[in-house]
Amino acid sequence: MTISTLALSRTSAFSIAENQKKLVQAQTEQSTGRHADIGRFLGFRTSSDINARLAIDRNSSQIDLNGLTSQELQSTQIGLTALVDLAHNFAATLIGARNAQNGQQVVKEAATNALARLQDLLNLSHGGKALFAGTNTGSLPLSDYLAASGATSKATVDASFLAQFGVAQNNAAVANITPQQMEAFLDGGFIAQFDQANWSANWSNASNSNRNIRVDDNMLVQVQANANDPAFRNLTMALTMALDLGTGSLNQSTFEKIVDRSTAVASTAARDIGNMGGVLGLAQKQITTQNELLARRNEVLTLELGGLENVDAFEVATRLNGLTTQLEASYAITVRINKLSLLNYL
Amino acid sequence: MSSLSTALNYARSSLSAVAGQTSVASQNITNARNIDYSRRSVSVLSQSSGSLSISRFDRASDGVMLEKLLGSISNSAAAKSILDGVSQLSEIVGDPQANTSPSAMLGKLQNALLIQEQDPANSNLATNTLQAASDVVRKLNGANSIIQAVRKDADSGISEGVASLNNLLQQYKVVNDAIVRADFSTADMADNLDNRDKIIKEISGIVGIRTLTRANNDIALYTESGVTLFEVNPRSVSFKVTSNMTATATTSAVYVDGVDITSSSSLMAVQSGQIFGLVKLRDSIAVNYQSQIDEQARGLIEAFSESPQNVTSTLPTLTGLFAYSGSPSLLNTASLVPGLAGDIRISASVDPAQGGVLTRIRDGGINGSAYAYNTNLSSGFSDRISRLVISIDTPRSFDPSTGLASQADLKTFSSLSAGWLYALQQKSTVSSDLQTATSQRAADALQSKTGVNVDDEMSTMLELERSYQASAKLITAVDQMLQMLLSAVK
Repeated sequence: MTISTLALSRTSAFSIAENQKKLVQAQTEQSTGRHADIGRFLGFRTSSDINARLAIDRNSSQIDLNGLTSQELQSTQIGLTALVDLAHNFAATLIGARNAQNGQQVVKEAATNALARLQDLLNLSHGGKALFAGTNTGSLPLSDYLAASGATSKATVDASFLAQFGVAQNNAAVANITPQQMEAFLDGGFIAQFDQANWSANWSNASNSNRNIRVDDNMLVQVQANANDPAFRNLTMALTMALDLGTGSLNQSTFEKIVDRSTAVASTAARDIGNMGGVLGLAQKQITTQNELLARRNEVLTLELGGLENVDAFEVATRLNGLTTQLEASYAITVRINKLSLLNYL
Repeated sequence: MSSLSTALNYARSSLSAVAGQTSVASQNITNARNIDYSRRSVSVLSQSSGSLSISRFDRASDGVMLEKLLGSISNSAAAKSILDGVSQLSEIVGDPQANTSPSAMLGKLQNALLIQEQDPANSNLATNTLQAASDVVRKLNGANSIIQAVRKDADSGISEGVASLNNLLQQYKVVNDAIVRADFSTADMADNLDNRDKIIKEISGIVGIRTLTRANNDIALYTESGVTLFEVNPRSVSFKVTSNMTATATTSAVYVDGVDITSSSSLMAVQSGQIFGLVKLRDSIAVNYQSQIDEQARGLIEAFSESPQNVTSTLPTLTGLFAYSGSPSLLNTASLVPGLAGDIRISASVDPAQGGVLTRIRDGGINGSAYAYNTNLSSGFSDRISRLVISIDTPRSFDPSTGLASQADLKTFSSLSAGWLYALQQKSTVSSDLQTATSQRAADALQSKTGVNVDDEMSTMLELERSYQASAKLITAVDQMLQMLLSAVK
């Protein structure tokens, strides 16, 4: 049987075109290390590929966010430590000044400074977020008790003092207040100023809801350091009672009553704040662990992705070689076939 | 009684036979590179008188191989149309590495929410979320447009196919009639046969056919499903173009002689050829993919919907950040709404560019205060955002008609859809490559059998040349002999 001339040349042209197509693919694969047409190569496994990429992206975002959260919690932790120190130092000052000659002056001054510092610490911000404001991160929790313009907190304390004793704190008549009377006020009208409702109304802009920070797909960590926490309210109360219930003009025994109460409250607050720091430390530890976990998950996912998308470099090199050789052979044969014509010999 | 004049006669008849053979050989050589040409040959017959004459022209042909070639042309045309369309569709997903798939857009939206959740008071992060949400909407709207464009192209392709089919059938009648009339006569016959084969090949690219050879070499054409395309006269093929292609538009079938040959419900539906491929693309593949994209849109609207915050409220759950033309009422879960992907949009109540309030992403309340999640307007309120992050990960129900999972979370559903599309592309590529190679081989096989081998023809020419020389020599010899005779008579 004879083969037609056209079929002869068409066959070799077709195989050359095929091989050229494969050669281009192999070249791409060698230079990128990935399959030339991922989707076509993977087929249905494309969905696994996309899922792995989504998970890697999400984990990476989470790792970054956890880094931010860690910094935030670290700032909070520093604030808490400073507050504990503040409470301890203040208590120590109180004890030292209790029976000192100018004790009332010392206490008043120490309380003024401590209250200002407390406000600063509870108003601590990180990256534009008030750390102790609960979910109300946009506004600073405490306003200045001693502001020249007059604060609501001071006004209500003043009013309750006036209601209890009939005189203002700076009136010389406060020297007549007995320890029993003062104790009654401390346990009554004054302590009420620091209950949840009054605190939120007059002192704090913080939200009662704590912030929840996501550290993993399904894991939220609650930040319990909130300016509305009883520990902070108590510390503020300890400072306020030492500062602004007539200290400076009180008689010694009433002053001692205040110092004793203030010391006790401040110490308790210091302990509670310390505990809060412990809980926060656990959350910080949790984030570190979680980040290690996320990083490990990403390693596994990256491996999976490589398994799906990457080519075996050695195999590609071999294939490339084979294709080149084959193409060269095809070219040589085409030339020979085209020379093989009776026409050349007539 | 033999005489010199008889010898002269023999030589002359041989010369004329050689001339005829030479003409055929040179025609063969001229058409050596014409794929539609079949090799011709002539038979030379000795007359009882001893002289030669050209008895008949032959044309190399192979009915079985031609039939096989027609089948493979139809299959390869169908596979190629499907592959072209699917390749266009797969651009919606793109290379997974490029992160442009609908799933990747969803992932980006979720990441934006994660970041905003960390610092809900930050309005830049809210803008970032809105941006990511708009990107998702754009992706879905774009996917809808691409799918409908692919369907529109297929529709136009069918229309062009039908037009050239009608045209080819007209040409076919002319050629076939000529063959039927002129059987057993001239050399032009072969040209007509070539021409008819060529037209049949072109027709089989458009629609799968069967041929039936009848008396006088008349060939009738039927679709592979048995509907008459040509029998004595061409039958009319009709199709109506869908002018405005949308997900809900009703598309037209192709009718031959009034019989539907494309609807899957039709008993006379063809299974190969360009028209089959395009109809499958337009009415099945693209529609199926559209349903998956539509369900992604519906799932997204559902995931971001708002419910009333008062537990005793009897108010309905309404659409939230993602809206559609029927907002605020929510669509039924797990029931497909064709074309929703083209209709999904960002709620104007959230988009500042449309007079909306950006913080509603964080606070809710798109549908009024009964739907506000952040009742005391804390700037760091992250509850709603957390719920949205989780909502994307929550398995929800999807319409089973999409052919994907009926229960999956949004991102998984979306990536399953991408996998579905690429699986289809993989399958179409394999099938198209296979069909192309088969068709190539069938064409080569037929060509080998019916085509021209130049070497053969050249050696025939050499023989003819020798034969011509011999006859010429004979004439010269007879001429000399007559000359001698005449001079003797003188």
